[in-house]
Amino acid sequence: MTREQLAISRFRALMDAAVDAIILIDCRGLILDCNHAGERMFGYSIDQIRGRNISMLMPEPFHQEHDGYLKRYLETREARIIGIGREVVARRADGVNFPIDLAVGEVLEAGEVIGFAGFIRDLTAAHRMAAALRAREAELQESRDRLMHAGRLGTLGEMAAGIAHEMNQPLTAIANYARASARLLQQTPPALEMLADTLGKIATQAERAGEVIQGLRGFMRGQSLPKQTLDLSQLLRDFEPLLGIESRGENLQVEVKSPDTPAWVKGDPVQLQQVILNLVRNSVDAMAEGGGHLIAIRLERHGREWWRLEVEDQGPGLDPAIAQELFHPFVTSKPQGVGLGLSICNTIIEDHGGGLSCTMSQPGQTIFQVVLPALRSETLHG
Amino acid sequence: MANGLVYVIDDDAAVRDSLGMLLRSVGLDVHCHGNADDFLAADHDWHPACVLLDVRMPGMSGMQLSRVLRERGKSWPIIFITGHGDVPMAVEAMRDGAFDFIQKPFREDDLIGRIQEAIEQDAQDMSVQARQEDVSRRLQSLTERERQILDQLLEGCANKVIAINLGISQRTVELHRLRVMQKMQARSLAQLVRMVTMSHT
Repeated sequence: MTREQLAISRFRALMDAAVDAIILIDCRGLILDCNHAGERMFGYSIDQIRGRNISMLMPEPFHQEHDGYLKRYLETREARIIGIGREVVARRADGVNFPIDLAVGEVLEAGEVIGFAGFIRDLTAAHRMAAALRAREAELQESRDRLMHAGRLGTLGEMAAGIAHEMNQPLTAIANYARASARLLQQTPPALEMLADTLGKIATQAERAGEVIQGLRGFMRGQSLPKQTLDLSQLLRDFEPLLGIESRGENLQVEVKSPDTPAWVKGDPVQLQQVILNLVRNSVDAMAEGGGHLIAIRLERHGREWWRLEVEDQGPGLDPAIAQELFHPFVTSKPQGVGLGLSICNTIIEDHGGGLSCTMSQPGQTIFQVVLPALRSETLHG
Repeated sequence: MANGLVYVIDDDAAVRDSLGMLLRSVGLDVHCHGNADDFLAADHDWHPACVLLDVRMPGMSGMQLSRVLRERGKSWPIIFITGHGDVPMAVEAMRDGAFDFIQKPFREDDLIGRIQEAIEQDAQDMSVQARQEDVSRRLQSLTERERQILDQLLEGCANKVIAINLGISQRTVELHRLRVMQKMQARSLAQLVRMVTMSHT
């Protein structure tokens, strides 16, 4: 075997052992050679494509434009693919398009480009896997949303008596005002000025009932919202009426202390409200077993990087055995509890890049702490 | 109907204000207070009146307030206003001697009807009390001897027995007995017994 024959034999072995398709073209784009993998990938035999333009293996618009690409490269040497590699679309013999990863190298003779070598990897399987992965992720997100939603509805269900009370107050006032108004009209002369005043009061009470409903509606919504830039102190202020519902009935007081300046974080307002409501509800339940009357909610800066939200109660405190596993699912200290509340809260807070913890600084005082990453003002304005 | 007073104690400003307006519109006088302490501090003492009380209030609850009122000898009939699901509390209130409890949301006629009955009851209680005070004033006007005779009469003793018990003549007993009947303004022995027995209850 001559040296030349040996080189050709080695070359064929390299070509045909490759898993990726390898196609050689000249500088006009005409196909010179193709390995076995290439034949399998595109569904042509080498004899069917040798001498034909490489653009036959491309769908539009590349099919039309490929000659132009080659010409421009040879003139300007500005590489778009050569030496870089990129993901493009190719076309099989049966007309089906498929995604490929394409890398191209130059064939040189005495410094002159006389052709190109293309290495092609079929990405169909990889794409299928990525799509499947995305679908699984979406499914996972959906079941998580459902769980959160169920958690919210469960919380609201437990709050039903309080909500009924909170609606009853304005409705009672409206009924009373309306009855009194009817009598004001029957007087001679009718007490019109007082009547006008009373109608205003009726409207105010109707709006008050509306606010309760409004707060609930946002909260009951099935899907969580995408994370957005939000002001935690504003969130707390808006949410205060709903927090009050629980405490009023049980002769407890909820005290909210938040800074006057905005506390910017990135988060889902509905989910964060769910966490706060859950913590307050836990406090209310704990204090029903005895203790003081005050639930304190504090929002403070915690170092440069964090906001810290604390919910402190004056209940009997937690059993240390339970405190250890508090955030695990199905662990509960409540006789009727399922033990999902804090586990959901924990998931939500971790998903926000924060942390949830519990401390008992002294007997009869349990503090739940939520820390969330603070958004810096540069992030907000830029 | 007029001349009745309703004390309204409710922590919800709108409920309180609207109740006041409603009750005034049917001719009742109304005093409103936002919590139990304010009401107690005002130290009201008007009759006939009744107290309309929210069961659930921050600070002293309606139940606690009703007990404090009893301790202080305030005898107004108390009507509790209860919210949804407060039945056990309502039962407790009734056991504690509440006049009634009304559940929110209530019908106006029910509320006003019960309030008028409560005020009437208070007026009656007052006249009973006035009578009792009258009787005890009359009792105090009796001399020691007359008082002894009265006690024996209440025990059902005949004149003859009283005379022997007290060591005086039957004629003297008859004279004292006549004075007792006059001073007590009793027309018969039966009336006298009833009057005195009631004043002790």
